[in-house]
Amino acid sequence: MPDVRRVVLPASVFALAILAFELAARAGLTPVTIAAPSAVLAGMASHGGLLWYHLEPTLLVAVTGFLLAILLALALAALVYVVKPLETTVMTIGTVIDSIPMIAIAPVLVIWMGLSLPMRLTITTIICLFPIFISVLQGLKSPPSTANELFTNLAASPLQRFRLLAIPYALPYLFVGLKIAAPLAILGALIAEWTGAERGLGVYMLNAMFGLRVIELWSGVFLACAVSASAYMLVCLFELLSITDSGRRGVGS
Amino acid sequence: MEQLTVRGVCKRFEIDGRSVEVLSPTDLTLKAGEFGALIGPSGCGKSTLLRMIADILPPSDGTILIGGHEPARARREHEIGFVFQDPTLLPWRSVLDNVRLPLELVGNSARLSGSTPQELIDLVGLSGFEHARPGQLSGGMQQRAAIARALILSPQLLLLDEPFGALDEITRYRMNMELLRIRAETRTTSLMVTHSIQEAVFMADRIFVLAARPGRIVDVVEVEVERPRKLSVMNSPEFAAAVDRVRTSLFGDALGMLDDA
Amino acid sequence: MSGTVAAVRRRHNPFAGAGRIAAHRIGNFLAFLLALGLIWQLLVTVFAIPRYLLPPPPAVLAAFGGHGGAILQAAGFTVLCTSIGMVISVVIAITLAIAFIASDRLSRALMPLIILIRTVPMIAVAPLIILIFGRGPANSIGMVALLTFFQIMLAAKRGFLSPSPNAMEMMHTYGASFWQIQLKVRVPFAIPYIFTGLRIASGSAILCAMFAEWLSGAPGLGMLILESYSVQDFPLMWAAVLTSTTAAYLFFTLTLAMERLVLDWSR
Ligand SMILES: Nc1ncnc2c1ncn2[C@@H]1O[C@H](COP(=O)(O)OP(=O)(O)OP(=O)(O)O)[C@@H](O)[C@H]1O
Ligand SMILES: [Mg+2]
Repeated sequence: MPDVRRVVLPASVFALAILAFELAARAGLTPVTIAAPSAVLAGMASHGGLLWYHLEPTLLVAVTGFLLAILLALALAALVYVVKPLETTVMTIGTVIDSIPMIAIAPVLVIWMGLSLPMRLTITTIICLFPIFISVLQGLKSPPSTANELFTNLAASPLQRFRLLAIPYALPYLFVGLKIAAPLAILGALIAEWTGAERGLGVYMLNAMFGLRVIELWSGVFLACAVSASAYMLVCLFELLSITDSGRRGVGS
Repeated sequence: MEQLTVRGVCKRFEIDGRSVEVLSPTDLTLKAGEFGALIGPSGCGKSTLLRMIADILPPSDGTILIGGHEPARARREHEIGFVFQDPTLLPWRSVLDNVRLPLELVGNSARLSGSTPQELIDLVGLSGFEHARPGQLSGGMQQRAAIARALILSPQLLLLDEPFGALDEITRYRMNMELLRIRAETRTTSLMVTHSIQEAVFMADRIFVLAARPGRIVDVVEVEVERPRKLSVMNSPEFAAAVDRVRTSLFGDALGMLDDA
Repeated sequence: MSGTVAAVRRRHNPFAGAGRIAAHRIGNFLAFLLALGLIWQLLVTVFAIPRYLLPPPPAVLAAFGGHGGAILQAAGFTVLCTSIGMVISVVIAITLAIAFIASDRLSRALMPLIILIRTVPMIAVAPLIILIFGRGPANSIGMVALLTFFQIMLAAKRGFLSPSPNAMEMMHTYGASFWQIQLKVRVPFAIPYIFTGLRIASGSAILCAMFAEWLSGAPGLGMLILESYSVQDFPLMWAAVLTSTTAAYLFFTLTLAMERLVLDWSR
């Protein structure tokens, strides 16, 4: 019952805000750059095919880049966990790469790989990699010292310690990283398209912006927001399914 | 037959680049089936000593023998059970799976002679909670599960580091009696760290009293109270005498000053 | 007792601590730049990296010399936009945080929406912001404000809620009035939290402003990077990148020094 109330209040505020926008736009109170929600929806409905045409490559890059980043981050975190002296080196390199502005990395990547799918995947993977890596590593190191001593006392092998202690402790942390990275994957795909592409949601948005097509731009942005919010919620759903005891969900957030 | 022998064991730690002697050379023995207690002020090295016996920490000097063997070998052969101050259960596993964890680590072939997880869960009084998660149990129940886990491989030596330190007094007395009952059945040699004089006297055959800076044993008190022990033995003169002796060893002159005042 | 302590502290220059932090961090950064330059040169020489991938440090230095005015102007534009955006963001964020503390219902109605919106990467909205605010500085300011707002607002809210009920009740038993409690307990407790939010936000704020320029074509560092890239002037491009990293670092240092200043002043 309280759960329902927690949703109803914000949902009705949201609905009211949309309604207010709609009325204001109809009454001509808003600037021309603000589109009425109904017009955006109608535009999306009538351009459904075109939107999907542009959304598809973006989704492909975002999902593939995200999965690549997960694999790389897990491998890297496991490596650093096993070979402890590597930690400072990897962290330093990671921090430096993470702090170089993407708009500086992107041109270099374009020179290397051209305006290609691998280039777009690389941009997306770079953006997602570091947050996942950091959280997983933190999780692998999170078992309390007495739990480690327990495994020492039981003469567990390094592999048993990794499998039965470190990995389960790291699982909630993995989801913290994934929740940060999932929306970033969409962003990475968009940025990659902004450096130059023929198809993609990012291209659609930029073209609409340059052509001052207000409704098209609003639908593109709305779609981007909806997709990244869905990505986030999908990760939450996976977390709900894979971590069954609620006490361990959402660590550190 | 000596089950546990500690001879000349000491420990130095590097603190701020200086080597600090946390535990002076220490001797201590327990016979098979005996119950020892370590009591002393905070920071005097009780946990450190217990961890060295369990081969979790290496001693700086001295020898430790468990059943005539080095701790490293005893640990590899799973002859040491350890109960930590906090229960240290894995939160995603049920009570049954937590108790079963050591069996999983050892592999299925080993230790068929010991009790089954279910028998031990019954022994520590957790029947009916086999499938509960640690988060659903009270602190005392969690600590019982930890004790069952420490006993599952039928160790020769059971080490307990303030196992009931976080419990209220009522639960603690109940757990004390449970532990005595479990030990009467398993006859495991045990060494327990405690901060409570009453608890030490109630549980132990022999109490090692430590002082701090550096940590060292200042007195060994033999407890002559008969077994099996019930709460009523706390009123006996032997009990009072042992409590008095431990208290004097712990506080020395300070107690006299309090009496004078 | 506490009066004397405060008096002793007051005699110190409140700027001393902040100055020390700033000097220390800037020194570190210069050392880092020097090391970076050496490694960079080494890499370029050893692997014979072509100029268009990574020009050697002397070429980048020469670009600083040749285009000093343009770089400075672009950096000035970006830093100014970022600062204005952050100030706007802080004012709105703290006001809203206070409103949320004051009204539980408001918080329950808006917080879930804010958390949902926060999952959207703000840069994805950039084209829309450009459409609404145009291609001048307003757009960069708006982007910075939008990007940093959530972080600062959530941090401020957490900060205002951080004093334990015990601390508040303690003040109450000493007969403090409602406003005294807010001023003497809530605000001091919240300051470190707000600065933590500011610190996290300030690192990304400049990069965000550059991004806005990159898309909109406003005359800042982002635009400079794009332009130098399109005319294949790679030394100038890397000079602009270095400038942006330096600006982000200095911005971060500035928030640290300000935090120290405020803490020294208020104690
Ligand atoms: N890993 C370590 N490094 C440095 N010093 C340590 C380390 N572990 C323990 N010490 C020091 O050794 C001393 C003894 O610690 P220990 O934990 O054995 O005390 P204790 O008797 O168990 O105390 P308590 O009753 O509070 O649990 C302490 O002064 C502590 O600071
Ligand atoms: Mg201890």
